[in-house]
Amino acid sequence: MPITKQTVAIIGSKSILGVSIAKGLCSENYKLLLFDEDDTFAGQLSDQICAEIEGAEVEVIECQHMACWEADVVVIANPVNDINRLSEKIREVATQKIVAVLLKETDLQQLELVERGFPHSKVVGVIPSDYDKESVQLMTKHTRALRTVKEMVEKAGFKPLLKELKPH
Amino acid sequence: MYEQLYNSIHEHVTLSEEEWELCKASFIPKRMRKRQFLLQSGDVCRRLAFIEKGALFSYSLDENGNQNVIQFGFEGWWIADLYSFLTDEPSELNIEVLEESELLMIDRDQNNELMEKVPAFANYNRILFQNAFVALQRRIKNTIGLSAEEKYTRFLEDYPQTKERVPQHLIASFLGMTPETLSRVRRSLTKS
Repeated sequence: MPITKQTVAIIGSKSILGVSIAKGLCSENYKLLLFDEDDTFAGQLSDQICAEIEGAEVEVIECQHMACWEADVVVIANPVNDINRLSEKIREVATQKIVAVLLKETDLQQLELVERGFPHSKVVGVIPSDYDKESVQLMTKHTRALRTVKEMVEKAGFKPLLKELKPH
Repeated sequence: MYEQLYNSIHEHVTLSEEEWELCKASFIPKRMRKRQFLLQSGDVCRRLAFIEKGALFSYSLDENGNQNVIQFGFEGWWIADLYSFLTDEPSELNIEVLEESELLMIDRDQNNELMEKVPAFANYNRILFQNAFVALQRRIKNTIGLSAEEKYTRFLEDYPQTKERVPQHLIASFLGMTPETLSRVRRSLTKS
């Protein structure tokens, strides 16, 4: 765990994954930037975390682009129906950053679709298990990114199952 | 977002359109707020940071918690702990944001990969390290054997932007003098 505080942007903080990651990371050495279409929810989550955890650095941010620009790691915690629209907004500021994306299933094509949307980012697919609510599968071609996201989901209370893919 | 970097690189080498796109794709864009840390003492410095906009400074802390300023960085400059970056040893420095900044960072692996793919970028790196060495030598020369007035005068010649943008106590620390001595020096230079 680095000494220098890392910034994590959570896009879709209203989702189960988003809330879990926010609550799991807030007591660790992270600054959290929360974005959700429902900014009231994001505000309530931020207030709750700040009330419960002393010293937590959590902020609601109104602009996805700005959140991702400030972030070291981007977590897209909502299932993304239109990855192209989202990637157009944030791709430029996600270059060479870890982008952890919630996927509906272990589908390489889905992962590749996201990778095409973020061609210069280290994309990690996060797939909740259908059978065990505490497990998530992590799928990626990037070893170091896998380690970072594994650490994050563990802190969020999940059991990560790792699937490292061969790079092209 | 890449304007200053483009200018900095093209001041020294020429890149083709394709090479420039490869270059841009290798850098991590990061916006930082005042008083945030780019690097804290104890971490290994794994990235070089180019300042597109804003200002940062690096410093060490002595056993009494006093800041010893090593370097300032402004638009168009690079900032890092080169010792830690090159040796992989934990840094003894902190790099802190002085003004809200927009950075472009490149990690060691990406830097090496880019130098292999784009020989002109390798040349640019070489020039950067040469300039860093020259700047270090100049810094040492300007610290030894000069009066306080001479140190401050040379400092303003080398870093004209600091006068309006950097608090006096940080300038004093950089020059190895107390804030009171710096105030005296500034007063005496104003009179003359």
